[in-house]
Amino acid sequence: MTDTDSIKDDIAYVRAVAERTGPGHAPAIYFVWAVICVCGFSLVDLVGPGSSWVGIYWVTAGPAGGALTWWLAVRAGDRDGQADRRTGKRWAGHFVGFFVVGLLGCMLAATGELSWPGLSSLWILLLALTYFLAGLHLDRRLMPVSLVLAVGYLVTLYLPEYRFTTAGVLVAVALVVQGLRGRREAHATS
Amino acid sequence: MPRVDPADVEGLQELSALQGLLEHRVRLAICVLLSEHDAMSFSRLKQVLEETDGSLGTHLRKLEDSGFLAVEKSFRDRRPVTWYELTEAGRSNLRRHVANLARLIERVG
Repeated sequence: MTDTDSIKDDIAYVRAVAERTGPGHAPAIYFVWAVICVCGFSLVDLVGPGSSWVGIYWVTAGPAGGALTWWLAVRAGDRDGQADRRTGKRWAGHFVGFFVVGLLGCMLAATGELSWPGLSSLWILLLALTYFLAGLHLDRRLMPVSLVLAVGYLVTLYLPEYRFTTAGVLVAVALVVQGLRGRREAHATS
Repeated sequence: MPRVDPADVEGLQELSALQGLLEHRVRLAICVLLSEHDAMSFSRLKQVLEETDGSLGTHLRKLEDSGFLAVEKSFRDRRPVTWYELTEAGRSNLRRHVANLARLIERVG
């Protein structure tokens, strides 16, 4: 084997090793957001899309879920022996961006440019886009969830009753399935 | 006497310019992993690299002694955990090494 062949062989080895360490996975994060989504979406059907309870719920549950997510991710990193602070900041930036855009979107309903049910559907569509981009850039496991969110968005437009509850259940199921899949993959590689 | 491929001679010259420490693939892999992740524990590196304690420890010590790695010790469930991070010097050496490798491979094909 020549030296250049040996270098190519070394690079192949390094690449194989790097591929063995994907992003860390904490299934609990998926379960937390499944619960937050199913409760929050159902609340829209329960109290009405224009109710201030919906706003209070998301303004409270969103940041609280974010903080819990951060803590769970740090704990999983400690357990797995792999700290990804820079990746964590990218995740945070991604979802904080969605949250801020969502809050600004409320201005549309407050000024009468959009109905409150319309705004609730728009939030789900924005969430679908956020999950799609997170799936593209951060963790492919979120890609199917984004598709389910897009279906959920259509459900909120066309289903006659329990539209948001149905969308919430769909999203929660997708999150739980992906969380469990991730756990199985993590067990298989450890 | 075997014929020497001119491309290999050029490659060997390039090789001499490479960082000696990173010529070993395990040490190169350690630095690449730590450039991707902020910090990794000894056990995690051992699991990913599939090396023995002794072999991995030797490679890590060499990198640490050369200032490529920073080490931090902590406890988890009353058990000691050793964390490794790539230093700024390690990061810039790795960047230079990878650039040299890319140039070499591009030239040799």
